[in-house]
Amino acid sequence: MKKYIDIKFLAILLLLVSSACETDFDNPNAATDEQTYSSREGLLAAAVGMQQLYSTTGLRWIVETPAITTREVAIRSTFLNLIELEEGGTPLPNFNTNTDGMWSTNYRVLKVGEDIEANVPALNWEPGTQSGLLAYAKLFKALAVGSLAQNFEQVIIETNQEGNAVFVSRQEGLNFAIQQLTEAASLIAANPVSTEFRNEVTAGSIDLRNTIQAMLARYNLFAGNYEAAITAANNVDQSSVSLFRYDLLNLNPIWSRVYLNNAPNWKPRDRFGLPAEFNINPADGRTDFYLIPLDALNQNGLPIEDLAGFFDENTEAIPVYLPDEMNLIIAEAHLRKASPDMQAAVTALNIVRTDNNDPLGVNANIGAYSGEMTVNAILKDIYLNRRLELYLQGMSLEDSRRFGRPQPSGESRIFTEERNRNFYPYPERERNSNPNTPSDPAI
Amino acid sequence: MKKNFLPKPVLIKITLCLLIFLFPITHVLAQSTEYVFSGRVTDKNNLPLTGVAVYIENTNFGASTDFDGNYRFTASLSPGPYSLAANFIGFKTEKIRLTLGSTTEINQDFSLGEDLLNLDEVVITGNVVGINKRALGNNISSVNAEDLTNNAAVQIDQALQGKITGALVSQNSGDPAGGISVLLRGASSLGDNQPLYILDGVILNNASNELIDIGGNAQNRLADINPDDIARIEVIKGAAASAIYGSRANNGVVQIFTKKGKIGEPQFSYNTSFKSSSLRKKIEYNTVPLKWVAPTNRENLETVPTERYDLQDEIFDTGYGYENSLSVSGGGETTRYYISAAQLDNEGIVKNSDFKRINFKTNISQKAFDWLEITGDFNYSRSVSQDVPNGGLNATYGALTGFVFSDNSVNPAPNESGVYPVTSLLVPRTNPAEAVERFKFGNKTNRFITSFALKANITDNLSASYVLGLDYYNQSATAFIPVNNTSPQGDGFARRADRNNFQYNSDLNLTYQARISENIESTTTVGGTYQFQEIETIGINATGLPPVIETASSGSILEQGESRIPFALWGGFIQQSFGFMDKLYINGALRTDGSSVFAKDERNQLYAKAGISYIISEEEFWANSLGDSFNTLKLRAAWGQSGGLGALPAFSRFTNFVPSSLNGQNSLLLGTRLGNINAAPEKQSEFEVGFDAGLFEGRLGLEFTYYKQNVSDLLLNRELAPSSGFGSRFESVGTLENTGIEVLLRLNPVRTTDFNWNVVTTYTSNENEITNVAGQQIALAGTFTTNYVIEGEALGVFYRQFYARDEAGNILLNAAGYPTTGRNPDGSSSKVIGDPNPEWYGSLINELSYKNFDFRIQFDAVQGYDVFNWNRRLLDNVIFGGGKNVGEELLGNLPKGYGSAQASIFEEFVEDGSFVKLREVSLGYTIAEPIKYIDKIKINLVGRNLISWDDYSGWDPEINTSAQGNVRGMDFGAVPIPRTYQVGINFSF
Repeated sequence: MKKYIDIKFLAILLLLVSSACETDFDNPNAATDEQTYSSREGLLAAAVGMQQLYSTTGLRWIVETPAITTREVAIRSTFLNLIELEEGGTPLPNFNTNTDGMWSTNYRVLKVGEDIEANVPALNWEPGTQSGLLAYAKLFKALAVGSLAQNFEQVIIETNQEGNAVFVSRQEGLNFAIQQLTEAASLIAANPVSTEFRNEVTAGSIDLRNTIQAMLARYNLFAGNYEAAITAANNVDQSSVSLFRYDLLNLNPIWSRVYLNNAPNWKPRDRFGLPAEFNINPADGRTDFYLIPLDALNQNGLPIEDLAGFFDENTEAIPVYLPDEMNLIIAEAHLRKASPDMQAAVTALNIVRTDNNDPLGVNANIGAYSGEMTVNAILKDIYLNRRLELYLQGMSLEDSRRFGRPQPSGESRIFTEERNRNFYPYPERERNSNPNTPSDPAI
Repeated sequence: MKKNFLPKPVLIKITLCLLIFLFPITHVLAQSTEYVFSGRVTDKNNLPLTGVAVYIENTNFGASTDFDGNYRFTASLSPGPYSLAANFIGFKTEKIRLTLGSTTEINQDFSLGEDLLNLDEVVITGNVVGINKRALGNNISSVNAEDLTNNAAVQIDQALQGKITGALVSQNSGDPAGGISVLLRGASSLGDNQPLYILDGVILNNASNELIDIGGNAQNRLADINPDDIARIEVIKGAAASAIYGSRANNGVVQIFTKKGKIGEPQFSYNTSFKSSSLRKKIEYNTVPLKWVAPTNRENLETVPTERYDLQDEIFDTGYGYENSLSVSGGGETTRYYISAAQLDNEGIVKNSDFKRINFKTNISQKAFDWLEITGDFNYSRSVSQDVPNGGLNATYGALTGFVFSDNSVNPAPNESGVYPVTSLLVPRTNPAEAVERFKFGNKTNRFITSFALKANITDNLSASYVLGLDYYNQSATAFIPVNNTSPQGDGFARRADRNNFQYNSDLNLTYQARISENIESTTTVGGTYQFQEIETIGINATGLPPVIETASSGSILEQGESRIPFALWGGFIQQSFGFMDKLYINGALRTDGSSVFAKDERNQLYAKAGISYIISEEEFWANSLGDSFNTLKLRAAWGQSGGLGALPAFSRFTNFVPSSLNGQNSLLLGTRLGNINAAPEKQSEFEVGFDAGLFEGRLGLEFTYYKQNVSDLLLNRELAPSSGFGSRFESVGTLENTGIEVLLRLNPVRTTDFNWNVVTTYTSNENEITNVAGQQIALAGTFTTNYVIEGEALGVFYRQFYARDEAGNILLNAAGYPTTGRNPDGSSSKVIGDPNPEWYGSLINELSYKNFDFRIQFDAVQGYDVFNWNRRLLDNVIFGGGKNVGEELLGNLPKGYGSAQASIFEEFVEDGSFVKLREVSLGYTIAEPIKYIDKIKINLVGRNLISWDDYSGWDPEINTSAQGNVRGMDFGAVPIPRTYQVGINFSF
């Protein structure tokens, strides 16, 4: 009989072996969109992720790309994308990694913003958390579209997963950003952001109210709404600062491009890359703030310096905007509005020129404006001050065009040109799958 | 969401389990008589044959012949008609019809005739029980132990090179455990294209884990297996044969059988060998003792004298290695065992690189009852490599990367305080002399492969087998670049990454074999499987290292990552085959299975196969007419389907958010891939037709196969417009085709008692074509956007800039004398400039033996394919300076900066990679019974990869920096395959 006991034992063993069959697994590594958007924690984390995407990868493209085009910086590596940008002109290919990166990263940000906006109302929230999340989503939607409108002739203001997104003019893009920011401002005016929102999302780094107003001022200026720009700029409390903060997992994206591994991709140009016609006051504190003297040329013979400012430590914070940008906006808007007010413009400009207690330490600390009292002369000084004050803030191509700096010839490798493109060509990947993609700009 | 439930196949399985143990009871009741069978088996020259299987067909009774060719076994059978068969590899099976009655002692001798076709070889792959090759509608290749050893190969897939048709076995790196890829009948997916490996019923993991970036090489984990333990390898190449393996068999199946104990006295075998590996040739380099004063200025032709150094001498050196292995096997009627231990240490040709492996194996079979056999198999291996990072698509710190960027007018030697000079003057790349001396990279793998198998003969006709197989390993990799060095990681770099791979398969199969009528045999098999895999990885990176300390946790900037990937597959199949008078066979099978990778609706797939084989030479009319010279002709055709799982990464049917954090706050980052819940497995259907012919008394054997594979629902990671918010989405939209011809010719021109000459030739041609990619052109990742998937072209063609040419096809030079980029009529500047897939490949093997000497020589050819020589693109550019053509520019034979102008015209660097290699040469001498207690001593001299005939300007066209992935034909800082000599001695006692 022993034989049959063994057999039963084996049979049971086999049954045990063959019965524990798992066939469905949850992903322990990542959350699905459904899981993310259907929970409180998921939505809050997606909001942080939206900021993280914009402030790391996004800022890299937004800052670096026009900085090369407008000679704020000069390249130091042999990566093709950087060579193409520095050489510029009509040969700049559609598949340039930088222009593609700027385009695609901002649309990722826009998509998350849209999804947060769409999914927040389905959950129960404290009113100040709901308004905060919605306003935050709108802020980043505005930043994404606004950043692209600074660099592309036409933009997309709503994502489309069927390859059918509609292009609108950059003016409409700016209008979209302004509309998002206006809605955001009224949301948090009605329900001021909650402590919960501040703790879970902005973590005390970003003052939402002031940031929304600052961006309203910026995009209204670009859109030509000068009175609205002045109003919004005046609404900003200039003692408040809003920062994108970094840590060892999220390094300062500009530091990473310049200092990481001692392998610089590019370095700042001498004299902020400005042509000789601009005189930088030798006492101007912003030179020392942003640049470290270096006696070297890059591979195309452009003189370069080392980088300081907000970019010479690996986890240093980068301001979302500089408080003095508001004064420069006010100054410029007063000059460009229907009936220019030169006195008001100079007053605002002088706040920047004589600044010696900037909350972020960007102090020109030079004398008041003493040049010609003509609109053009003051505008030129404003341009100079924007290049210095707002160095590597990603607005240099927009500024160069708006201030009517010399047009590029379209030739490649003319390193003396102030800018080598007016707008970037549309990324090849967009054209491949979206039949609405317009023709590339001539230059 | 975790669910435990029993899918249908498992229910079937459990029911079957129960059935197994009920059957023996009925079996005991059957009435039978004990018969004793004995006799002697010889060849046509009356020489005894050892190891011939003699058995009664359709039963489980049988035995093997001993050294003198004698066999004897007892069988309890009911009286009646039976067929007694004698089967041996290389010989034609003989069958004798007997009617058992009152005589219980049956004596029967056999005289077997040769058969180079091995038509009666028993193969398992594609079936559950052994089946004669004659019954198969598809071609199957098998390779035996003798052909896998004594060839200086370190791993088994390497030893397969050139031995079978339809298999392109490529060594992708010359590192001491350089990765090897096996492509059966062409690529069938844009995902994984490596075949399914099964070792004694255990599904093996053959991943090429790149836990640290050592540039152009990733070991594939077959490197852990000891080739000396292998008895036989069977390879089936496509869906026509592999349907019963279902979703994992899209790229074919390689089944490995290890050695088992045989009844008899303990047999010892001890092998020891010593080998040396060296660089086969140096590339031509800049030796001109001049350098430019202003390298980038084409107008300034001023030079100054300089010394030129050969940096190849800093990197390469002869490597030595040794190998020892000992095995014992034997057993009695009930217990058989095979036990082995082996040790290998093999230095690479790059200084300070080596690979060490230790293997232990125990295989024990126990006949628990006369109807039940239990086999336990236990394998442990430890593989440790010391690696030097070389090229690399991502990391730029490697030695050979440094080599191609280096200006060889700089002396690479360190100064008196040990600091290495920068040799790459323009961009930060490592001084190669420093990389080989100071960088510490390595991989360590501890692995268990173990199985528990039951084989039950339930009745004379019904048998069952069960295998529970487990494969577990931990691979641990470390990288260390000390602080203050010439690499782009000047602050130092450290990485530690570990992967745990655990997988098991549980397979139950039941087979019913019976003779339905006098002329018709039937075999029915049903089976079920459950397979589980869990890959868990953790890694930590650091830069900004303190001096001396090598651990990654000590750096100042840390990055870390972890991932866990579970996977399950379950399925069941039924296979039926009929044989008619040993000359006509038909078979068919259905398999259904599901995989956790896909959405529930897409999981359960049904695969089918069918085959027919007709041995027309068995017909009487044939025997009467052609039979004397044209001995055998088998016609065969097969069709089958299989699935592809590899292209869809785990969980990528969802839109995923990646967990991260920002300043201590949790964050979720939207992934760049849009989910596609409807992604389905790729579907392959394959048709093959061919014949096996044997002529002149079995002295010439020819196998011919034509095949055509169609893959539909090819999963493309389709590019999306960025305005979607995503970069890509997996869509089941592509199709591709492989068509090809396989020819195997065996010849035995001379055979006498003392002298024997065998010739084996293989030829395979394959044409791969992407027939639909939904109107897109997809650049393969990791190719610097050079290898593309393009409709109407083969997978991974080179698609980039080409020369502007005049109408006669001559390269146009601009006014300054430099070539320029050509334009297509639409103004674009890219076109297909090369194809890395070979038009054909083949081999020629000659084996000669004279008395105690044997000599073997194998040539391999891979023809009609292109290699992209990325090295030359950099070497010949004057801004880096090491290439031969920079020297030509210095001498004024080429305009200054010519290589720089070529750098953006990629056509220049696409070179013909076609080669013929002297792959293996071996000379052996055997001494039989030199002293008492020693049966045999065999001494071997072996050479491997001794000569290559090719027109390639790099070290070796047989290379692939993209390792075992889909990208082929990429040469960028990869270590060339060495020339190896080995001397070995084998003792049997």
